[in-house]
Amino acid sequence: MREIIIIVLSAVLVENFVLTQFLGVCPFIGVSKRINTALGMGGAVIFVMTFASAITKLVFDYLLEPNSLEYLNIIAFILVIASLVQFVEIVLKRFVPPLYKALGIYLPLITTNCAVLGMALMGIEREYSLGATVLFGLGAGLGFTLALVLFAGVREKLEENDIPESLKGFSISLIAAALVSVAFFGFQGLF
Amino acid sequence: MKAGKILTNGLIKENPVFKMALGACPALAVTVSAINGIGMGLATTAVLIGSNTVISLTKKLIPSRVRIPAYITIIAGFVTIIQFLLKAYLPELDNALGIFIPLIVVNCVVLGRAEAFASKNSLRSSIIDGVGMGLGFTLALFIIGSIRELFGEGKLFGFEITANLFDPATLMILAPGGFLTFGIVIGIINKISASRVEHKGCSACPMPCDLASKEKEVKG
Amino acid sequence: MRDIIKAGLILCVISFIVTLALAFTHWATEDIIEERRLEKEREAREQVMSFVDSFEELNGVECSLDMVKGVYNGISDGDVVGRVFMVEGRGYGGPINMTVGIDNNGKITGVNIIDNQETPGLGTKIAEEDFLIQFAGIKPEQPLMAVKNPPDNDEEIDVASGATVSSEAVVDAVQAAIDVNKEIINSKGAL
Repeated sequence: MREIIIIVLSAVLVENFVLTQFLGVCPFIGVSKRINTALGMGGAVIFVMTFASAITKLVFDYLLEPNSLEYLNIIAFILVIASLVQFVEIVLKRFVPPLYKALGIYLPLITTNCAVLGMALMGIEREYSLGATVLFGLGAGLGFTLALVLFAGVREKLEENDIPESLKGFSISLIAAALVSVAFFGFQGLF
Repeated sequence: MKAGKILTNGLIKENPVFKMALGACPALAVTVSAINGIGMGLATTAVLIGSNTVISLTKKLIPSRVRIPAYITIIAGFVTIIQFLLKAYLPELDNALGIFIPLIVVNCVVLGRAEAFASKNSLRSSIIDGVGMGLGFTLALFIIGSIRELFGEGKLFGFEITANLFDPATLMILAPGGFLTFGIVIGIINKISASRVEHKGCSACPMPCDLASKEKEVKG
Repeated sequence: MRDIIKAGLILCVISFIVTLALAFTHWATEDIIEERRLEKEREAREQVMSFVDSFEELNGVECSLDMVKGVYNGISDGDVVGRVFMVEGRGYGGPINMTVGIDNNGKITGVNIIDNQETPGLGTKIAEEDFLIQFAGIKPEQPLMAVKNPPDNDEEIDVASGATVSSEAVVDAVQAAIDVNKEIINSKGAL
């Protein structure tokens, strides 16, 4: 139990993918203008990350490693993620239309979200068991969502403020992200 | 197009990081020092030149419906090759850049140039575009890396610079310093160039990232 | 339909060619990568026990601690004068590979970090001389302890500031080497 809590909480807070490891910065800046879209994107990422963590782990353990094909891991993982995203999209469209309406537009963005591939590679590097890998994927997704939603809140406030012309847009978003990131550094000594 | 024009286009006018706001992850993550910035930039340049070359050569062979998976496969191949070469000949750099070497696969700059340029242009132009964009990326990472190393460690390329001037602020080479430096540099560029850098990030990717068109499809 | 089959075939051909290219690069660089790794480990051994003529791997050591990945006898004028332990500490960002040298009297001759994935600027301080020098020359009677105040005795190691977790990981790893060293000495005594 302790192990579970540590893996999930450290992925969410201590080593937050976006704010301390710079994984998934693109969608973090791109899809955090409104809290609603942030939640949609976050939901889609949690979904894909949890499944992707399990599948990449199985592919590595049962296909690549026994045949000493570890050197194909990058290519195998990115193809797994791309197909998974496609598959999830088709399944949701056909069977759960309301969920597809909510997450559909975010799904294709996820293939090139480096947080997903990063999570898969890190799980292998750290030699997590299958269960731990899935928890790590879930935690990473939750952390991504947390960062996104918090930051969307900050940005909604930002829009009401008077900001120097040249700092507007991308620039001030990054500076605001720096401050949110400082806050997350407070979690460093948690474990 | 003239070779020189394609080259400067990538370096300055459409600098992938400073002007197009692409590749933000590596631009933030590995730029704890000038040398890391250059190393990451050159590794990405090598992948870009390779993928642009192959994709330009095979543009007539790859059917458009499977082009994205095909591009990803080709890019992933080059990335893995670069990773092996780094491990074999520059192990220190490989160690410093860590997971961000394999993550070049999902760097929007690489896939973006494959889709937007190499798949439509001649071999020669595509190679030059790869060089220009790659060096533009390197330049940006070098600038961010130098600033962070200077203020965060008081060094540049590992040499003490500010030893007697001020105490370096470690924060600058930590995550917040990355966001801060990048944000301020973009602000300065906005000021100089008088046109605002907008984050096109995801929509500039060839993945059907175009939120607007996708939105229509979902709703329609 | 024919289009789909054709597209699929082309995709297969591309994957096949890429895989061949990777297999070739892997084959061509494999030995060099392995050689570099061994070279680095050899240097790390020499650094922590510079006064010996050669090292000899001690096979068949039953380590009760799986952190210790290998043991080498340090040989000077034909006699074993100490042992170097290859230890993998569990750091903040992943494994910390290091060497620990201990002479026949139980005195630590040096600690060296081969590689680590700790946070740049904070955790990486453990690889700096200021931190590692604390281990050299001590002859611990009690288990080592990581402390945050100036240490009172040999067994207390001052953590690198901002790198508590990483420092503790190094201290634990050095302790593992000390324990295994004692085990080896004890089992020899029994023979």
